[in-house]
Amino acid sequence: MLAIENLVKRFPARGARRGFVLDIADLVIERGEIVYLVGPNGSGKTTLFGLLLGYVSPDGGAVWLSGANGLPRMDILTLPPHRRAGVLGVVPQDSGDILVDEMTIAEHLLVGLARARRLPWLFPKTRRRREARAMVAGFGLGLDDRLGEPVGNLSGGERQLLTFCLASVTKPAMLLLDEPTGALDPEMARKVLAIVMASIRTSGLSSMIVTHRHVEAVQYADRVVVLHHGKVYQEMRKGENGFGEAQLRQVFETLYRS
Amino acid sequence: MGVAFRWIKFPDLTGDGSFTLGGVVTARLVWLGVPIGLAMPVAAIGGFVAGLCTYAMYRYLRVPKILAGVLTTMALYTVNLRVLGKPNLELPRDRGLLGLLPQATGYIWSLYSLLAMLAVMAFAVVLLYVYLESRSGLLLRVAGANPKMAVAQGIGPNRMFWGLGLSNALVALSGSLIAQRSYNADIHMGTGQVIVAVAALFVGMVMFRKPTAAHLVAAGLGGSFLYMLLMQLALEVGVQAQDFRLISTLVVLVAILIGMKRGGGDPLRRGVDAFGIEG
Repeated sequence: MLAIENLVKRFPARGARRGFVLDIADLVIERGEIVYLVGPNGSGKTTLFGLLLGYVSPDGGAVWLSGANGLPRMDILTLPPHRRAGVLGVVPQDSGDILVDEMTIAEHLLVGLARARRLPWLFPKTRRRREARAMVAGFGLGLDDRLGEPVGNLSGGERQLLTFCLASVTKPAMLLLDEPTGALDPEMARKVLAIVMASIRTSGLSSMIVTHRHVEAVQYADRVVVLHHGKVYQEMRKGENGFGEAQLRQVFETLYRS
Repeated sequence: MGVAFRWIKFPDLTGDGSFTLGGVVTARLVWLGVPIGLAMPVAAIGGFVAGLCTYAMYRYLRVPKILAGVLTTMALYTVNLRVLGKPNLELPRDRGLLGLLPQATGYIWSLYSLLAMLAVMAFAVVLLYVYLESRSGLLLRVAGANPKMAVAQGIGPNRMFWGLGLSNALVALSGSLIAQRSYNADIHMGTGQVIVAVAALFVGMVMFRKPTAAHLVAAGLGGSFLYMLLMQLALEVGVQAQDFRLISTLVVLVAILIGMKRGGGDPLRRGVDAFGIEG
């Protein structure tokens, strides 16, 4: 469970965000819940992710994480960015950011294991392939025969799938997906999303997903959270009255008028 | 022959100090009667420790990277003088790696010294390759190739521990070899070695650019070789030894230019950026 309490970030009046204030008073994501984060450009979605991942330093508040992998309840804002990787898996919009074209798919997959010291100090190539194969087996990525290839050979969709795979194999407490299909064409986006969401459902990972595609949000979310001017504007739960694409569009219309 | 690899985005200036350290430690130990098979590993370990000093300053005292290296080199100057006892120490001709064949002269000596050095280097290269293919080496390569990925994958700045240690151990080993070859350890022998190593590495990185274990090792080796060849060529066409530093600088600039032409969209990423000069 992830609980955001009074998380505040104020940007200086001069500069890129010109006095923008993010203020999330109370946002709780239950275990196994899939929460979609929507909102107009500049509503604070990316800033929120930046705060969670440690790329942006907060001005106040706490983000409590509990019940993950038997870890004690802790405020993840106190962890340095690289220590958060164990508890938060990330899929950015452009996976080129966190892949190395010249290294093989197998090598990428083993980085997580290597970091967690779940590999022997020396391991031959055959062992490497075997471990990597076992890791991708559950994901249905269709990459099983290509583990020895450099990542540069992969298409955009395949790279997103690999990034997702990297983010989730280490069993983080929560996945953060920042427009995971934003850079893909609609057809590829649909395919990738289907694989990713099926995998999230089976593994029961809590997820927070940023998107601009309302259809997608309504299709997969347990809850849709609308951000506006750095605050939670409205929450819509699946199964409740007023959950649907039409209603979401209505929310945005009133929000644009305000 | 500075096979210093800087694949951790750390512009490490410790090299000038650790190169000398390798030389003086070897010289002193040889005079003390320590067998060369022990003296060289000790020299390498000395270099490793020097690298760790730089790392510790950067990591725990938050000293900027370049300054940390300069400080270590400065401190090493005293250490080196203490170890040596005087600014310059001759090595006995009948001891050390090249002392195994004391009577050899001229052509035989050249051949033997070349082979002996190649053997030591081959050994070091094999060790380095094995390390880069290991669990720890994999993380080091990732950290060097893409810092963003390193953070996303939970690789912390601790990777620099091994990077700096190993790089300086190799530099010290080179210093040890050079001292043995010239039968002389000098307090100033390391001055400018960093520039030479950077020049060689830039040349190597133009040819071998992938962050695979093979390419990383090849960049260091191939670069050194080509660099030496260039310098030899310069000597042949009548350039004098005192002009070498200027030429080294030009070589670095030319290598960067070639990297820029090839790199296309991100010109300096594989060149300047790889040395972490931005931070």
